Amino acid sequence: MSHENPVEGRRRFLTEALPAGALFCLGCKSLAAGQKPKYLEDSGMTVEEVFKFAYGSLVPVMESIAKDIGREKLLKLLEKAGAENYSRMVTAMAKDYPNRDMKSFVKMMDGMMASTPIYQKSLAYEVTEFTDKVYEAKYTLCLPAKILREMNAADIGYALECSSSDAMVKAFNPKMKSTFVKNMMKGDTVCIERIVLAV
Amino acid sequence: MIYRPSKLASTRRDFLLNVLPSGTLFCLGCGNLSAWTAGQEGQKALEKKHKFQEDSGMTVEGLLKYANETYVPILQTLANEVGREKFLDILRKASVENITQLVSAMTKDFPKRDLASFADMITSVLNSFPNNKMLTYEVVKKTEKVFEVRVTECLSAKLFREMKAEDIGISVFCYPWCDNPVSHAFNPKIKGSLPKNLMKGDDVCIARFVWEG
Repeated sequence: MSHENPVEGRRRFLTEALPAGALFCLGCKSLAAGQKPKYLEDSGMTVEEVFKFAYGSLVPVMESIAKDIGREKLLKLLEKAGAENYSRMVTAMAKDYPNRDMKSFVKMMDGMMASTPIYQKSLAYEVTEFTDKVYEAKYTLCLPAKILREMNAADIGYALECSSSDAMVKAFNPKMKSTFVKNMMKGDTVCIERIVLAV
Repeated sequence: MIYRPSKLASTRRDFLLNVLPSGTLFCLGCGNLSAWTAGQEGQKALEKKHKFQEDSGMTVEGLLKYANETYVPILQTLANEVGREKFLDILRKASVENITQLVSAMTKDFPKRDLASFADMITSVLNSFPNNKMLTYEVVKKTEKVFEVRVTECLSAKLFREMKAEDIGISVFCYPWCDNPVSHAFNPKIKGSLPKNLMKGDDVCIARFVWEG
């Protein structure tokens, strides 16, 4: 049996044992157990499952609202809401962009895609024209269009996701105009989005 | 070395049944299948998942945040357009309609409509993904007359409150799932109530269901 110097023992108690005890006593259960909250665990969901989860929460509610207030009225409201939301988003994203030319717009959108892996995995596109005045992209895969068409909610999908395109580019530069030459949400085999900058 | 007998078509019938269909498969545009000829790389390409089927890499919180960010701003804007109270009424009505349909579908094979069966349904929902990762709960009372659940953690409440959209959260989740809509959809003799609610800022949720038969 060994007997410690009482002063040394007290020091060790204060510097080592007490803080450890306090950690256990003062409610930091998660840290003590070395556990992270369970909602920080990997969902294990595929990209498609994530989109289905998100739209699966929204679309049935929208369908019921459509019955209540009328489908046309709902679609108009959704278009307006979509335009407002995407405009706000672009305004916030573009606040540090001194140039409002086509190149800067494309750079900003590429940056957004790159920073959000789930967007990259939900779309496939190629740039078919890119000049100072025109940016045109052809989308050959669009997961939102696939899911919303499967849910028979393409009109809701168009109002939510596609119709705001023009408002979005105008939030970056009011001289820009976006049109869909083709649109998968409406049943075309590809989307062709054409953005023109009037100079 | 092992030599296997040749499988080349020996008869006209063999040719028509085996070789021709394979040939047409390659000729008539089945480009993906022709990747077989490219050996292992081709096989890997074939086995590569479509990118929609790739792992999202999202946590449960990321998933719910993504879903909320998809639709909460839209609902907020609709509320501003229609008028908040009126919109919340519409939202509650829509949510009740949805939960009624959902409970009907989930319980169509339930032989009993008593409180015990209702409790089984609720715990099954609470234990299923993603609720099992979003909620921490305990059943505090389970008798023939009363079924009570206490929820101590609710990710939806956390996120809706962070987005200052708790009234929308109550209309879409709490009211339909923890009050009369869910119980009445199962059996109108079960009365639901939510005396405490994390979404409203309480420290826990208490969902109580009472048999009034």
